[in-house]
Amino acid sequence: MDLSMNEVEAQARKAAKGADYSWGEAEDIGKAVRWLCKRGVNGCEHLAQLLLAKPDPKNCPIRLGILILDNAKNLGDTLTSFGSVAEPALVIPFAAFASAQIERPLAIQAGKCSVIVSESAFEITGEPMRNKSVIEVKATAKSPKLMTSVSRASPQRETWETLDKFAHRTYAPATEESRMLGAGAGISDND
Amino acid sequence: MNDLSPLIPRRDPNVVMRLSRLGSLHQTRLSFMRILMRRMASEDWTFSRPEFDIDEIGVGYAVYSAKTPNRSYSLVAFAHDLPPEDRSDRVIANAWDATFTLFDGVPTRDDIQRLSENVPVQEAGRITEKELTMSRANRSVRLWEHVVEQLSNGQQPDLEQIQQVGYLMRTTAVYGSGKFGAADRESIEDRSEFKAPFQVEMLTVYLIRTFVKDLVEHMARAKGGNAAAPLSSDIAKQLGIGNSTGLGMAPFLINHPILFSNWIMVREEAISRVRSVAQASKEEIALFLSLFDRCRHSIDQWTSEHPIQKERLSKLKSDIASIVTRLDAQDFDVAYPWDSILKWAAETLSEEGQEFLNSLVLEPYAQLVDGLSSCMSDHFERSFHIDGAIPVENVRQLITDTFGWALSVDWTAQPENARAWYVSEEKLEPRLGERFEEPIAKYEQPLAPARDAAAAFGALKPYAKDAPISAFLADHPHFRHTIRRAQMSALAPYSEIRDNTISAELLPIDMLRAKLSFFGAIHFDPRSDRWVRICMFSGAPYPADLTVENADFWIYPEVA
Repeated sequence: MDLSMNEVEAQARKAAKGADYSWGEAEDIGKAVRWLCKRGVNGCEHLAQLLLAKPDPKNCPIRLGILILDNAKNLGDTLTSFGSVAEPALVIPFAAFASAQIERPLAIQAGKCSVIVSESAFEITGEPMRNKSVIEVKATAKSPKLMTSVSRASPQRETWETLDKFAHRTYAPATEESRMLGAGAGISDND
Repeated sequence: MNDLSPLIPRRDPNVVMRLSRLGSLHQTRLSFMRILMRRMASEDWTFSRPEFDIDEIGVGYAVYSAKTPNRSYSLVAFAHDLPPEDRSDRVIANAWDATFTLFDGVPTRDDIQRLSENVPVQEAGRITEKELTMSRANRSVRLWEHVVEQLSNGQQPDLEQIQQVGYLMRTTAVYGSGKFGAADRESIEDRSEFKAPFQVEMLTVYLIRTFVKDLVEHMARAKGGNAAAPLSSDIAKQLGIGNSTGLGMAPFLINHPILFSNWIMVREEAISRVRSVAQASKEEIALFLSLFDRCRHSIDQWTSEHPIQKERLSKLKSDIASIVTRLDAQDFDVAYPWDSILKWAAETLSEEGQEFLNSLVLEPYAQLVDGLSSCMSDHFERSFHIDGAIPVENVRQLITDTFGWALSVDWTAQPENARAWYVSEEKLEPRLGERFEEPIAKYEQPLAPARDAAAAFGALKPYAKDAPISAFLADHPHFRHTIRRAQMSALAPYSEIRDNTISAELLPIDMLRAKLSFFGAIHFDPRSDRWVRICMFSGAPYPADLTVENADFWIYPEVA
């Protein structure tokens, strides 16, 4: 598929809301998935897998991500996840948002994978990021290499359909009454 | 924006951000259409029609090109033969009289082929990064048939009918910003021509207007052959492009708080700068008075069948009479003449009349006002993210500043909480329903900021004043959206509508009008409490006639 970043963000937000995250969390998730896609990572796939897996809150990368972001200014100390984190790539953009607030990079340690994250880039060393890692986050003096951003996202159709299925839960079923009254029509447009 | 430090401060958001006032806003010289027209003229854009392949029943396609100093943009227009029973302005429509896309550059044969398979079906199709907008329009059947008939007989259409309707086609959506696969705004916002908001959309509509004129003349020739006449340039100039706007535009204002605040703040800043002008020159006064005369003519032509707008129009017309008397008596040699007029207006006129004058006094002051257009976009991506370190006390204060009035509202009372905004699964049409009569509450969109802020304010009470807001958010993720808005309001004083957006009394058309006034729309004609028709580019010079001299005040019709 060939999608704009606006489509990605809107779909991710709606899907997250459909999967019972709050509107505010869903907004952050939309921005996070957009951030990943802009850096060539298939953020849609990570989100789709997360929503399908429905992990326990202590293993939720969104919960951890928001914890990092909301406590950005206290990240002098190491912050450790409560459990093994599902779809840990989703933590990266939250670290980037936190990094923007404190104007310095963050280091994420996920098992044997090390990630340095700045406002607009990340760099992975060691092993690839694995699902169900215990994650530690702290401020760092190192900076990731600059990344070029891409303007389009190209998730698999099935991935998009999974997100669509969750997004669909936010839409009210069509009824004739709603069709007539809800948008305030009723006057002929054939004039 | 503060470098000039005007003497007279900007108006209080508590005055400006009431729905009835937002629903009384008028276009200004900072409206997006007018910014575009001035730029196209000053940069000497050139326009052409590389292709026009439309048959005698009006089916085919055409390409219109606009060349800036650095780039080309092409409107690709598809004309269709639409059965009358399919003509609907709703989002849920599936077919239209004409469909459009604005192409970034010059389309190849393959591009046209690809677009012909996607643009005519609109939301059911896909466009790409090469396209900047997607749009569609329906004919005004009455006027279209009349104009084709008259022109085909070598006659001009009846002026009264032209003025009554104002347009031959009305757009029913102009999608940009990455919708349906189009290029994202962030990928084009660095281009100088698109720095101000909605410039691609306005360019699309401007080119559509030329296409519509060409198409109606083409249809008249197909019918009348050599006997057919072209539209007289005077009549053509009066014709704008209509627009039918439904509820979808209302959530936009709430969903883009910083952007909306920037629009309002820029207008308020412009007003305060002009109020702070100590002495008006003869030329400035003369320009103001002549444009006021021209406005009177335009307002006389503004009609509506809707009872709310009828009442507002009758007030506006009586306000105009009061303004005439006041201006006759006005001594323009006094210090701060515009401030004295606007103070009088605030005490005397209806909100329609006040906002009409607030917009009009900006006209003689291009050099004080026009530079503000660069402050109308949203460049504060970082302000989206919550700062968790801010103390609870500060957040409570921000809520009190913006929503103090909402804290004493009984939000459990049915009339205050009567409505819910939702999205229908039917083509994802935004709708407004009755919370206590329809099963829609569980689908409610977060479009009641005042109610939610009042609830958050209460929930914050048990927290220590100096506790970080992150502690509250960890316990109450449900309020994350509301806390974000409260933090944004610190940067964006005009971000929040200071009225109840779910009350039984709500008129969504007030929100639609606020947005459309910034586009530069005139002649607002509500079709219901949630549906409005307007006219765009009426009076504007066509591409071939555009000059620096006529690019500014075209929106005020010349008085014969």
